[in-house]
Amino acid sequence: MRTVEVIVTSSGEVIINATGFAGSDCEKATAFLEMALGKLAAKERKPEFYQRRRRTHQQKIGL
Amino acid sequence: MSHFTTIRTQIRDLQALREACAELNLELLQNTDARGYGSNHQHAEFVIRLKGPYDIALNRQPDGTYGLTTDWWDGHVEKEVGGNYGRLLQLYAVHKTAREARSRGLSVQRAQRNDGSIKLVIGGV
Repeated sequence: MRTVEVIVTSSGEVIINATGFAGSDCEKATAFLEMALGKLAAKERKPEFYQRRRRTHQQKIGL
Repeated sequence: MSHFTTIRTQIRDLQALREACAELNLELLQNTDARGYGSNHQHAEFVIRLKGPYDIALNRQPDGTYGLTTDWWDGHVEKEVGGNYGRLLQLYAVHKTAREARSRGLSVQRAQRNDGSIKLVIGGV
């Protein structure tokens, strides 16, 4: 399940954690928050970011 | 899990600021003087009137964010809004996040964590 978790520390720093997304969909999901809240301090992509979306393959085997 | 982003909170949204002040039980006033040490008074666009002797002045900066100034002397302001405005920025960010999410029809759940941080889970993304 895709969720966006936002942790706001007691010093007012915000950590946005996008979970369950594949590929760059996560960036689209959190961009509105990142832009609205303030200045980007750091960004870290997790392995799943680089995962390609599933594609269906069709193969035809001739007789 | 896909990515982590860290943001330094900047104040842009006055309504979110109003909500944060309300939660802190502080008044947000417009176009008035902020009290400082002795008879130092600073006129500002917005003033957060604190319970103690000094206030927080807010003025709009060229980049569209509101700059905060106050008198930190003797810990009066820190006691009410945290060191370096931490508690104020925290609640501002919480309310701003909730406003942004809800305006897009997303759900928001809020929880207090033991380390003093506040967690928001946004659903429907």
